[in-house]
Amino acid sequence: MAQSNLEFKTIKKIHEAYNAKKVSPLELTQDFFKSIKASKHNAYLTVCEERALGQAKAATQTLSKSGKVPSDQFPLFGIPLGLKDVLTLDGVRTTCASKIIENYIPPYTATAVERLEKAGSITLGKLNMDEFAMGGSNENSAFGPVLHPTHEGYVPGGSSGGSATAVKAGLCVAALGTDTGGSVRLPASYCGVVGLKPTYGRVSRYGLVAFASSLDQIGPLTHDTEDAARILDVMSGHDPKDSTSAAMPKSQVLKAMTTAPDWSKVKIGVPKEYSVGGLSPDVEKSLQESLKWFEKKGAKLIPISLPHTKYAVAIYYIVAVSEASSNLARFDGVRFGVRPKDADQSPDLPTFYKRVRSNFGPEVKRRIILGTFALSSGYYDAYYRRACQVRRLVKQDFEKAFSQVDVIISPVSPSTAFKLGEKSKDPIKMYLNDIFTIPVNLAGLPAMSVPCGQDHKGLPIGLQFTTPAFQEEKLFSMAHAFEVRT
Amino acid sequence: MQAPIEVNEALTRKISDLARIQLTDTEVTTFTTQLKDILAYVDQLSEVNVAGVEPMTHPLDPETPTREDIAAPFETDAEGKPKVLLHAPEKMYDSFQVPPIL
Amino acid sequence: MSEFEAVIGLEVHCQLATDTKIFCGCKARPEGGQSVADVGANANTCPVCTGHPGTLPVLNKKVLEYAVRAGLATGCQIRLKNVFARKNYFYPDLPKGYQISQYDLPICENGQLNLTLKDGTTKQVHIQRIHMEEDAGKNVHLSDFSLVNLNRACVPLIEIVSGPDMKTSEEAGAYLRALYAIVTSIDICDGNMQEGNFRCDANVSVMPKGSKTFGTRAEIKNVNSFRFVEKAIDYEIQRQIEVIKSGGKVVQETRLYDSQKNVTQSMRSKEEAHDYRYFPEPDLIPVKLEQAWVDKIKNSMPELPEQKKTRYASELGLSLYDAGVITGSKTMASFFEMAVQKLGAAAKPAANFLTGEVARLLNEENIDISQSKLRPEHIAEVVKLTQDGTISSTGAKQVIASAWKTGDPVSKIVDQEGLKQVSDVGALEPAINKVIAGFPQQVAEYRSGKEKLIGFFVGQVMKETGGKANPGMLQDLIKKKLSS
Repeated sequence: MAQSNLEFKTIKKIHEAYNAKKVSPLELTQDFFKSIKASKHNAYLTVCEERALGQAKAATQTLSKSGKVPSDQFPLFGIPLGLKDVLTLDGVRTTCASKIIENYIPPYTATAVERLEKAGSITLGKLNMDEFAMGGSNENSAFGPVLHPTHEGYVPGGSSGGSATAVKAGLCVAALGTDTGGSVRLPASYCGVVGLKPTYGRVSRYGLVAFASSLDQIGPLTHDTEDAARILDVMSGHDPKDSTSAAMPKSQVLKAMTTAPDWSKVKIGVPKEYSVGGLSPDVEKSLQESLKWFEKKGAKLIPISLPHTKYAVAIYYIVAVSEASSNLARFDGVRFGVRPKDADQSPDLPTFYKRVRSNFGPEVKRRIILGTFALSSGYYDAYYRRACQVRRLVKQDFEKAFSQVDVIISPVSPSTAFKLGEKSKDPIKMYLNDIFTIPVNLAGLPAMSVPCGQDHKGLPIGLQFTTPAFQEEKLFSMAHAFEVRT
Repeated sequence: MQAPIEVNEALTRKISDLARIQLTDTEVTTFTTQLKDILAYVDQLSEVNVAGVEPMTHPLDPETPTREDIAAPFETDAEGKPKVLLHAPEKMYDSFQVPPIL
Repeated sequence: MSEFEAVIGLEVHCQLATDTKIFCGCKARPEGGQSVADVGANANTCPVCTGHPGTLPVLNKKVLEYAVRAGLATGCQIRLKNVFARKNYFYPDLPKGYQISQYDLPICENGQLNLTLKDGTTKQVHIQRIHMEEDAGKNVHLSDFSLVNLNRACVPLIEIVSGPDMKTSEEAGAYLRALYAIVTSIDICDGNMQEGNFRCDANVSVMPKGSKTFGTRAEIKNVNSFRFVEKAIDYEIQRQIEVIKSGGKVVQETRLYDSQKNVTQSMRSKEEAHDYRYFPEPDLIPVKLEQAWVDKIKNSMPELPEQKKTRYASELGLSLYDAGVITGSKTMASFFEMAVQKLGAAAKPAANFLTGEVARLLNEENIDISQSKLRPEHIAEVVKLTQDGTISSTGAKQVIASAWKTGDPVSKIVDQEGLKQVSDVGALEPAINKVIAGFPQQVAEYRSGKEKLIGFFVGQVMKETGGKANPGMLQDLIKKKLSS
């Protein structure tokens, strides 16, 4: 029998297969584990075989009793998913790809994950990532880099590299990643899958190990926009445990997607600051082809200006690292995590902390030090406070633009996936990869990466759709129409 | 507007102490150079006119979420001990154990 | 001392009497009757208050209400939009590596406390700010290691910061007592100082008298008794003066008060000047209060100690000072009201006992009246028996001391200890006659004009009756006898 995980790719197809008794949840889950074991991508850090098989067995029993998938009640019934290892799952190891907590077993489950499992999903395991979500290529994991799903020697992008590779390489149906400056959209774009960053506050951050509190959001990586919609509809909605979660009910994106947009009424914003050279020729070509398609459908392309774009990376690298330097202070070896043997013999407390925290990787250390500096007395006003002021200007740029257009289209990245080791020595070069994705996090807007083509090497290219806050319905409707275009 | 900040190895050491991060001498040198480069890059923020602009710390500006003052005790483990102690690196008498605090 | 003057500012950390912690649903305090020590280590914890990765704070509504009450009761302006901030530092009892507190936008500012000192003079102390924050856990130090208990972590606190307006330990003590009276009477604080509900840090410096520049100050941390705060301040002022006089410089540092030795000592754990790197807490939305909500709280505030004190003085004829002591805590005020209003004791004598004998006993053991065995019934009964002559004033003191120890009813104590005064004339006559007969010389001197000797005779009759004679009656009876 063909491996079912490669045959039935999407949620809809799987439910059809379940109903037609072509495969059972247990068989599907077992096929995934077969593929995972055989894979060399290093996508998974922890595999929850026993737990997942238990979930799969229960789903199989339910199915045999009811005869039909109860998809109204359980929209993700029997769907095997992967979770970026930055999300907590009670009783299952969460490492954030770091040696400092490589033994951490959380005592509680993240709200988003809880909602997915309550909707019937099966958790296959925890996915590799850049350590503490800091990185753009998944080369910063303490447990080895993740490999590109289709092109050997290339990076999958980061920090949700494991999530993107796992989906594309058939190691899970869909995965959860997290996006702080592009960490869902960039790997989605490099690997050729769909990646969504919801509006800030759309999905609860409770159980998401914080990197930058005012930027982080959980987002799905999927084969298609429909799967992303299904997952968002399940996990979104207000969470009283997260004070930054929006007071809104669950999204109803799947329903909205069934109506194609009236393209003649759609105004598409093309930021002029995004095309000041720097795009690789293949990405430029793919962008133009996509824009032509929208025009052909009747949409109007409107040049817009986001004048503070050039400051976005600088703002991000102050705000994100400042918040991170504080968020990572809790990793002190006192209540959880790895405590090196010499830590207990420390002559004083500061030494104790230093010995424990020596288990952070170099990129994490660099960002903690930069963040500590930006917040320290004497520098706070010049760096952190000022960055927050310019951040507001970035948000205002978008607000002005959206008074003229309905959606902003751009590439996700100036280039396609690069080779392992090619960029990792130069932190600034790495940071500039995020130039199109970061502004969206600063403004708290929703954005999605949808595959739009390939470069001359066959490496995927992603197109980014951005709408105003809480307009995921519109976002999905347009992205889906583009995705299924002929 | 911006006072020139002397980024040198002494500053790197001071900051890394504050952050409880131990750096080797090589790392101090590398980090100082990288810190200099990054700060030079982010310095472009000083050219922006931010007069009268309120710093933005939240993308949203909703009503203050609060909770009622009603107890919701957390679970205990199978032996009735506080669950947060379950995987503590070192513990004794139901407390987290650390080297002596002078 | 006269060439120097002291400058004292006080920071009080007051634990709020909410049911749950400020940012999570764990219990904030032990059940009624339990002590903090009765609760098992880390029994009141959860992933949020122990700083587990991925957890987030959610603000307890009641904390806002209590903080606003504190601000209104001290005449502060309430900042309708106020912001939480992170105070970053590393310490084992601080699970997140930062404390969620408030920095440049606290909830209350610019209030004042009006004090009445022992000599009747008044003083106003400025309250700079009141802000909300979470408490840290507790460390227990053993020889080879320390143990961290996070039950107290995330318990809600308000920090009340005074201006550097006090000059003496007496003023500091008066300020603390007045503040304590307020927070207990508006029901936001349980007031149990031994359990750490009300903790004081004192910032002390000295400067040449009349100078306009403050000297370097030292901070004495975490003193939890008024008496100890006063003593610590006195010691510290002297210490600093001596340092300066001997040509040295006062060091800016944190010190702890050792009550056994009555000294302050520098904390050996050397902390460099902390850089707390305050920034607005990104996990919490800024607090936005409605003026209407604040007004509602103002209109439903219980009577404040100051108002109660003035009322006691005018309605019950108590001195302002005594009224001040009685209204010094919610428990003392309700004790007094029960004795006087419900049980009908005369106000002034009841106040005298409370501010005298009872206050002395409370101070000695540093407990609150609610923790003692005394009940309003005891005081009411003692007042009644003293007024009708059943017991003498010395006897009354004895009754109170015994009731303090045993809690027994007054009638039982009077009987058991034989404290009933002899007030019956017939019973006293033999003793009087015996004394008069026994001291003929003094009788002659008295009769020839030495009227002061009446005291001598009264004393002798008291001796003769083993102290049981009613001294108030004796003077007249003896006078009568001697002049006949």
